[in-house]
Amino acid sequence: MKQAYFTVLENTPVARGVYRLVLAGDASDCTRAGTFVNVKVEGFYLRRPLSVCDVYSREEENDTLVLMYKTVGGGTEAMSRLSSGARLDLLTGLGNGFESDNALKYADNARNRALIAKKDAPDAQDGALLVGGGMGAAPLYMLAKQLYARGVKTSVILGFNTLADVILQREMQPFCSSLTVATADGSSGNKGIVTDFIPKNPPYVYACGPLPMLKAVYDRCTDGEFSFEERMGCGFGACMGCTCKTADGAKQLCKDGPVLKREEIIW
Amino acid sequence: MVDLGVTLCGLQLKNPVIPASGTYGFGYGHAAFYSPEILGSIALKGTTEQPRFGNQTPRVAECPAGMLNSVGLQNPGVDAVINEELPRLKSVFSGKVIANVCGFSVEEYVRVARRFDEAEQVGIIELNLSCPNVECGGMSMGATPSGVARVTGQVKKTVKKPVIVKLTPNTLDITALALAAQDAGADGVAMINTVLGMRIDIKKQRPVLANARGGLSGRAIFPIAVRAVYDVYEKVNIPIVGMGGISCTEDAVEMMLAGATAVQVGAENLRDPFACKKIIDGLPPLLASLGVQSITSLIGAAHS
Ligand SMILES: Cc1cc2nc3c(=O)[nH]c(=O)nc-3n(C[C@H](O)[C@H](O)[C@H](O)COP(=O)(O)OP(=O)(O)OC[C@H]3O[C@@H](n4cnc5c(N)ncnc54)[C@H](O)[C@@H]3O)c2cc1C
Ligand SMILES: Cc1cc2nc3c(=O)[nH]c(=O)nc-3n(C[C@H](O)[C@H](O)[C@H](O)COP(=O)(O)O)c2cc1C
Ligand code: FES
Repeated sequence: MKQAYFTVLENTPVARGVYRLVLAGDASDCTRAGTFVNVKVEGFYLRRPLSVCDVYSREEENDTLVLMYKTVGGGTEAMSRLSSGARLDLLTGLGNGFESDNALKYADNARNRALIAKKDAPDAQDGALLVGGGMGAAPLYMLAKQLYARGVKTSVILGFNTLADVILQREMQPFCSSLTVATADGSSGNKGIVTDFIPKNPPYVYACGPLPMLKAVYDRCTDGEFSFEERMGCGFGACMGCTCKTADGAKQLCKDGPVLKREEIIW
Repeated sequence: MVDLGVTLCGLQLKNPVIPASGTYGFGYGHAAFYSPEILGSIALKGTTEQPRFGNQTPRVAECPAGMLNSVGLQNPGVDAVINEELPRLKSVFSGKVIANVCGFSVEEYVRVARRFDEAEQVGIIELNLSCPNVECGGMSMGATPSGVARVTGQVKKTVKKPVIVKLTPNTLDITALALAAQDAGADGVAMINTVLGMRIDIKKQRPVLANARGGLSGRAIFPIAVRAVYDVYEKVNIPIVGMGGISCTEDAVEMMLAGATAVQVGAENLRDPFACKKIIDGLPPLLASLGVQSITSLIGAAHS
């Protein structure tokens, strides 16, 4: 956890109401996919939580941090008016993030099980399935990149309402063995919702998106991690604003989350 | 050298700045940003006898110059606070802390206060008679002078440590509450807790908070708090811990001029984790520029 100032390098629209914000600063705490930053927006009281979408660290130079956000209210609309050179106050390194080790373990187990059972086991090399809905694609992009670097074979399913909302499809492609885009109206990729494209025995699942999507994905898999959203007062465990009930008791989604293991989740 | 030390109910504080209950967890969360050792003291999250999950989410809402919360006293219960939270806090803060006590009956206040009375790290017991986010207990017991007197009197009979009563602004006359606390034996009053408020989502046409109503805190309530402390200072002779909307060193000084012996900083800790540190660091230069040698000379100095 750190507080740091970043400089806006780029703030460009990439889809309907969606901006890609590229920042320069100390992102040394942003190494884990699924963690988030809390952005102070001029004129607003509470900070706005946004997932880390990508990060490049550079020796002896500022790191580059990439965020993707959708304008849904006053705070994100004010962000969309930031121009390059503007300074932003961020709390970085917030939340637990995804555990990419779990996909590796799963891939190993699946390989072993495949040797015994031969059939019905997932493809021996398929370690992970990433399922994203809307802006949920943002943290999954960084995860896909990291899983790829660790040699985990990964499939990705991204769901959107319509073509104008599609993000990160092209960027994600090089890091996964298969990429399925689903749109509700069929205007891009396949017509349907993400769960229509989840295979019968999915490998380890990583999901991020709206609540109904998370629940539907949960019902279609046996093991995985799910990233949740809650309104936050602080983002670092001080206010008890973001509490949710889990099988292990009350948890703060900003500190013990936003990622919960499948077995912890209570709907 | 400007002297920042104050004495609050017999407790020596190296400076008058204390993070307010509910905005600093159990003290060790902010340690990632700076060492809590610099603080005058720490007010712990409101604690009840049994663990409480609190209210449904959303529990926080954005407001102009402030925020609403309806956390509803989420806490792990007094046993866990004493056995788990206090030892953890000890590793980052060696001073005495303020235990914020809440209950749903007079008896519960007494039982929780008695537990903290035995805890070595606790220097002061703060009775939260002002939480607006629970159905019974909290503000429902603290909004009338008779309620304040009843709880304060019973707790004072049982504990040895100093007792400060935290008052609500959601009442007809806060000075009457303060007087009731003083008459019942309170060693001090803390004020103000949050101001009742609500936000409505115009797209959903429903209140933003799951609990509909919440407590407003942050800069927006600062003038309300200054007025309340000023008026209470004229009526009581026990020390006042002033809070409500303090966000910078100047605010802390203003609150002391109104009559506060020490100040608590709440919501500002959430948007700026360094808030208390900045306020403390700002005191020596500000006091020097005001020609003040000892911070205690500020207390109530605005009164003629
Ligand atoms: C851990 C986490 C990661 C997130 N990552 C992203 C991301 O990568 N890209 C993205 O576009 N959005 C993300 N969000 C959602 C984003 O924080 C909200 O859309 C944003 O705060 C809305 O602010 P606003 O002022 O525009 O909207 P308003 O509705 O005006 O906001 C009012 C208040 O509600 C809060 N709020 C509103 N919607 C949400 C929400 N869905 N989740 C949490 N708080 C909310 C705001 O913080 C603010 O306090 C994330 C949320 C969380 C909790
Ligand atoms: C998220 C949050 C939780 C709070 N929890 C408590 C609590 O448990 N007990 C209590 O006495 N006051 C609680 N308060 C009230 C504060 O301690 C303080 O009285 C109030 O917020 C006004 O100060 P501020 O404007 O500086 O925040 C809480 C306030 C906030 C914002
Ligand atoms: S947002 Fe404050 S504790 Fe999680």
